[in-house]
Amino acid sequence: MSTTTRQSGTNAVDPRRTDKIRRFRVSGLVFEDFTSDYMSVIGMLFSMFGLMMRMKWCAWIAIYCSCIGFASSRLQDDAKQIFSSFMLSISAVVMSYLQNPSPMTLPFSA
Amino acid sequence: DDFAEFDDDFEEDELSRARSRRARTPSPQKEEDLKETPKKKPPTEDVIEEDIRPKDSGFDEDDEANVMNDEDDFESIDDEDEFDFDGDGKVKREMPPPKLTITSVPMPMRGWQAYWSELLMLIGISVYMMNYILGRYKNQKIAQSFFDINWNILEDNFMMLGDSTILEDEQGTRNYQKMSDSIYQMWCSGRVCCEGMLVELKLLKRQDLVSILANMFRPAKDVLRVSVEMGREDMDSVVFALANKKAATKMSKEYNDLINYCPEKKPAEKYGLPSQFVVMSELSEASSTILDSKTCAVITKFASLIDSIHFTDQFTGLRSAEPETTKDGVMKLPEPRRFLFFTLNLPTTNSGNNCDTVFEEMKPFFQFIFYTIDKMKRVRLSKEGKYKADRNRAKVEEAFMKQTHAARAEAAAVRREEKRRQEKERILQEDDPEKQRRWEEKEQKREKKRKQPKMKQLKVKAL
Repeated sequence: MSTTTRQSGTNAVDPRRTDKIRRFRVSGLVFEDFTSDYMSVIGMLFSMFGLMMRMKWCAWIAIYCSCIGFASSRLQDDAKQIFSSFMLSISAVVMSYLQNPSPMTLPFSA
Repeated sequence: DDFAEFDDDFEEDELSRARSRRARTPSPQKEEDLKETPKKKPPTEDVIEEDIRPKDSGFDEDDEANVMNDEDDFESIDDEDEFDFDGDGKVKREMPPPKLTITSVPMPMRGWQAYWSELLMLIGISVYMMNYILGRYKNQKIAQSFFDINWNILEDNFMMLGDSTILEDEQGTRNYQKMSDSIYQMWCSGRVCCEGMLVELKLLKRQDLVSILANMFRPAKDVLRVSVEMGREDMDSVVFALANKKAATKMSKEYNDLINYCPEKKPAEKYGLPSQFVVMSELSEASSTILDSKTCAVITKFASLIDSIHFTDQFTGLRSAEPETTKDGVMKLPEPRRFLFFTLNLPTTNSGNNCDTVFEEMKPFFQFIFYTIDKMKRVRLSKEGKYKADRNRAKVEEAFMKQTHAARAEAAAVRREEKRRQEKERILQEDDPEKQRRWEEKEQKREKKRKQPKMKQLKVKAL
């Protein structure tokens, strides 16, 4: 009981058909990458911390988070999200230095 | 100024002490002086009292007169410091400016060298940005070289390359699409035996420094996935998958069709394939037909690249995807689609310099893909196989219906209720009493019938 495979001659015939042209439909298998979303959320949290608790190292980490979010952003992501997370983190750094211009103290140092 | 009056006492004592020292010397003449000096003490005290007496109503004119007639104290009259001329009880005195000695406290390190950690942060950001530009360029170069090398074979097989949003020109964008800095894809369509082919390149995120460091601990590779969508008549009822052991376990948990139709996994040695592979198939007959000699040869040759090969006519996405629902919110049976998936791990290095050689060596694999597309068109199940496959599909559909039966019954009840309510409203608005009476009779008959106990009808088949 073997499956019959009809041997058609080696088709040097051109396989292209204009009537078989179809529009692209997403197949349900997509390479999802959520780094950009996670990073912008974490970035916003850190810049909030940097602004309110006046912790400068938080503000600097917020800038790193928005850089990483920008690097792994997809094309269909709207640029506003990336732009707003950058603006928030840069303003956190600037504000924390305006309030207290002394250099940053690392979290674990005295 | 409060202490000003004490200074006066200080000076008076010194004066009297000096005089008493002079008085203590033996000469007689001095003794009379001594006798006189005690007389002097009381008036000076008066003067002191006068000065410090607070300016209040109790001080009257006669006291002032006693002070004036005491001749001996004149020398202190013209001494302006003694007397308080502005009349508010404070004696103005040239106070020596207080010498504040500022102790030398070690000042905190000022100047730019204090900001060393900020400098470090800025350097880190600029390094990250430079790596971003470099990494993006590397990924761009790899994608470009892949599509350049494989362009001819794609062009020979497909009428349209690159999805064109407006189909009139049927030419498509004739270029690949950049989804993100590390994911590129191209849709090709217009070929016999298939609806279209999506070529996806998921490269390492060379533009992100953090993921480069992460890759050092958890090695990852560039991934190429070719998904060929087949038409209804292009493929028979086959669910088949061949994958590495690691990929197989992941797939068997995620893919709906593998969960429903291929529960067990068979080692690939049975088909003469390398031991790293596992075969999952609905019908053993289908896998032996698919894994013919040419296919086995290609798989063995590209064994190090192949991650998984998955043919399915019941593809309904991943289990984690949310199910589609109809208008009433009832889960609808997702419409199965037919796909051939080829997933490869590309041996390109981190720097991506060897991408040209890798893609040249991989060219034959594309030939194999087109060979498989044409072969699947010719693969037809035997009668028994076909019957078994259809029965499996019916079983899965039935299980799905049972699962959503409750939800569907509820939705139907809601719909019936809605319809009856509208009918009632329409009748009430009717002004003809005859129609209303007839409608109410019909309504009561229906209620009575619903309350009657239901009798089961039993059909007996003649043997």
